[in-house]
Amino acid sequence: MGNRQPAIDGHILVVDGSRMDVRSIRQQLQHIGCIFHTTESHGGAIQWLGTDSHIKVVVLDHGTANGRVADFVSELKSMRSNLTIVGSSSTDCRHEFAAAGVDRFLLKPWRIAELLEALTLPEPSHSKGLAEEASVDIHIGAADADIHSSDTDLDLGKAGSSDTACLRFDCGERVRIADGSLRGLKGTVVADRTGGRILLQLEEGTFVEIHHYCLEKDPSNA
Amino acid sequence: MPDRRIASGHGAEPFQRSKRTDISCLDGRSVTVILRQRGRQYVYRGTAAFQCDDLLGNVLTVTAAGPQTGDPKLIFTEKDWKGRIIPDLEYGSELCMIPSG
Repeated sequence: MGNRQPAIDGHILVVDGSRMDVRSIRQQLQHIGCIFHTTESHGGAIQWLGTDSHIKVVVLDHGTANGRVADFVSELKSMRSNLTIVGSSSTDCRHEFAAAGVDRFLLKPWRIAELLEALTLPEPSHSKGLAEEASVDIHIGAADADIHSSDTDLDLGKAGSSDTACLRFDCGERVRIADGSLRGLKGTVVADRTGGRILLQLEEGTFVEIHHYCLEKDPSNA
Repeated sequence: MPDRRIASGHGAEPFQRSKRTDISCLDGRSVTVILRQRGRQYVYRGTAAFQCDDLLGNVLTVTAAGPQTGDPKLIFTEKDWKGRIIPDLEYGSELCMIPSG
């Protein structure tokens, strides 16, 4: 698990008010080893973007935008110009997303392969100015095209309001803090804590607990 | 998770400088932790709390007062602490913790 390369290089933020849909998306993203957050509100999305600098993709549900797709997209882009936004809805409202500058659209229920395919599309020309730095690296080999979004036997548990999932690090793995005031510190993963936090041992008797999105594998593995 | 506060009995007492300090006496104090790793120094300021961690046992956690990227929290286990604790004359907190590593 820890050595598997995630299918999407960068973190994903899923903005969706439907717990059933979030549950389905969670499982699919976990299956391909992505690091992602989920939130069911506009405010949660803004908060995550302000917190996690590694978010590269936002999957935005039409219903969560509450009729203000263009404003929502504009606000997200103003916070992070190189963001790739994918619209999502159970009804075909791709034209409304397109009018807001979002040409990537997924009709629910969608499969992870469709998301990966959408992310390989070139940026639309009318939004090129904003998105010219966009770069989402897709590793198709990690995707499972046969995953369906109709699973019904999962625990709804933490998928409700705001959640984070991390499949990237194993216990005993050497990692480096890549963001924040402790950036550069290296340690060994001891345990997963709740809420997407990881416990690292820096040295004997000294530990740091930090959100997983601030961590990266230690390239030197020293 | 460190969620059970333990009464240390030292919280309101003046800090006593000693060669080997029980870190429980830092409970409730503002501290600056000075970490050194591979020749680089990291300075982290926060408030200390002596707690019981389900995994690590008795620990002193240091949490920053304001929001920080990734919301980091430093944790020191009571049984392994071998560092120094000195008055803070530089960073604006009460005490400095300097782990031995």
